Amino acid sequence: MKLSTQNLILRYGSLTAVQRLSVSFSPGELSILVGPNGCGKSTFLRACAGLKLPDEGSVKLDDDLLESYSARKRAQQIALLPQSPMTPAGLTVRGLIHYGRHPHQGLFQRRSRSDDVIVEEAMRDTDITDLADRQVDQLSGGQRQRCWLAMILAQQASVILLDEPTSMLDIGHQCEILSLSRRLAQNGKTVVIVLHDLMAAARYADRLLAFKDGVLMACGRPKDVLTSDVIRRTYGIESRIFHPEGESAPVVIPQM
Amino acid sequence: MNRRSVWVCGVLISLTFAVGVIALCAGEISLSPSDLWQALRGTAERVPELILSKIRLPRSVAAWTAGAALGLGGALMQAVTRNRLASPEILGVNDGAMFLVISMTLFSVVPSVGNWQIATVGALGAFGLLLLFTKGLGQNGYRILVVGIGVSHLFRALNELLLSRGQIQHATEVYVWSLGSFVGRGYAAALPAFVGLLICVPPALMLRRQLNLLGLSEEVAHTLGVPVSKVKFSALALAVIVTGLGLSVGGPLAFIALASPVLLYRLNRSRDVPVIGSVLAGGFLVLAGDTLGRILLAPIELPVGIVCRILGGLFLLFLLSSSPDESE
Repeated sequence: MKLSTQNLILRYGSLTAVQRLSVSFSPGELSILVGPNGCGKSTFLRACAGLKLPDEGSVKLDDDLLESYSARKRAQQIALLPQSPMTPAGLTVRGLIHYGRHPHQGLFQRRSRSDDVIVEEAMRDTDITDLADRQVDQLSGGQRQRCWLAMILAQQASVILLDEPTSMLDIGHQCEILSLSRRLAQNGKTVVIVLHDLMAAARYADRLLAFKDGVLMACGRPKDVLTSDVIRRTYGIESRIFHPEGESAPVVIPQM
Repeated sequence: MNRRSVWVCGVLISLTFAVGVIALCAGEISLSPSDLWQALRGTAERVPELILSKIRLPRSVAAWTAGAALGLGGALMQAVTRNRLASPEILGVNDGAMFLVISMTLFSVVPSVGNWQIATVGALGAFGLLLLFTKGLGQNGYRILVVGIGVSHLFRALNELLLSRGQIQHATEVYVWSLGSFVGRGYAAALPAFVGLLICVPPALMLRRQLNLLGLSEEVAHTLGVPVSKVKFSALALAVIVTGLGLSVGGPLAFIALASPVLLYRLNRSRDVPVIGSVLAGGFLVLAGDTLGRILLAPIELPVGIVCRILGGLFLLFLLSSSPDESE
């Protein structure tokens, strides 16, 4: 499904986090949001998931207002992985991932065979099958992060929003998660990720969106967005951009 | 429910029956289990028959019902606030209900304590006040606790003021009730709470899975399709109603609402909200407490409220000392 915003304004009290933003994300596309801390990326993602209501403007799924969806219907279409969610005590990895099936289950319906299959698949995709019976709160930060991601996968939503999904991961698992996100997009999901790592963003994104102070500074293919000029205006630093041979994505070297 | 929690429920039911037999047999005139058996078959002599059917059985039923209702209320409150301390006594619900009961009795609006409508309305009133001051349920579990402590102290002060100014014959009766006691309580007192329990358990079971998700975090519950505010409000309202009904039976019994769910989380080794388990544990604990209070210093009778406080305090200390990693 297509996710779009129309003149979206988001505020926290008197502070405006997102200023009149109109943007749309299409199925089959991996979009990555970058920008300095506190630029409104996460707030924007929360609004896309219906966690924060628009102060002005709107968020739409295809042609319907997001607000018109019931909680359950919305959760069937949109999945959000928040930034470092709290880890619950006394829960196994498999139990956590089964929670992802909640939007698809009726009031008294128990786990079905197909739920089990989907959960096993999600664990395989995130490389945590051997952790299935461990307690989530006894895992390392990176392992937990992959568990949460597996829960999101089990939700089987058509729009997937990830807020810094790789921040706790080593480079190997970072690549795995981002490759997985790419595959999801290729399979027709709408994927939007907030990321701090500019180079990873450039490598994996179909579309890069640079934010500053709640304003979209640039939007387009990574090599068009990642220019010294955009980086100066977004982050306030000087940098040099290289285009290594045989490498599709540009490399950003900040100046000291 | 997983296999372990079914097993735990089974154990609780057996324990309740065992304590029930003791409750029926023990007392000033002690009866033997064979007297019980004869009474059950209708072949008992007149005195044991009367003691059982008119005094001990009704009182035991009242004690169990009150405890069961408080256990359910505690389980729901803890689940909504995601805090093990969130019991009706902390949130001011107990004292709010007591305030209305005490003032209505002292000003002779009603003839005696234990009127279920008044206790329930009082509990709901305190809940309304709580919502007013927290400006809705809000995101943070701790805010409702802080406001609750304020509300409960306000009502407690008013209660003590009322008791100290009240007419002596009323004040004594109210005072005993405010300690928590099942003397002279029977089917009539237990009926409203029992019916309320039957009505409140099914919706609580329906909310259970969503409350489990709420335990992760409100944010995650929301993204998994839980209508967060609706679920929180319904669960809290159920908790308040069932608590009001529960304490109308034998007065406020400290620690039951707090201890029952905590005990169940421990026994079940699961973070799923223990609805049925808390009902059974609450009933068992209060029945056991009342029985202990009757036989411990016989012929003097300890009010069950005091027994609950002593045992509950010890239980809480034991719990805190045995679990250094208890983070919730």
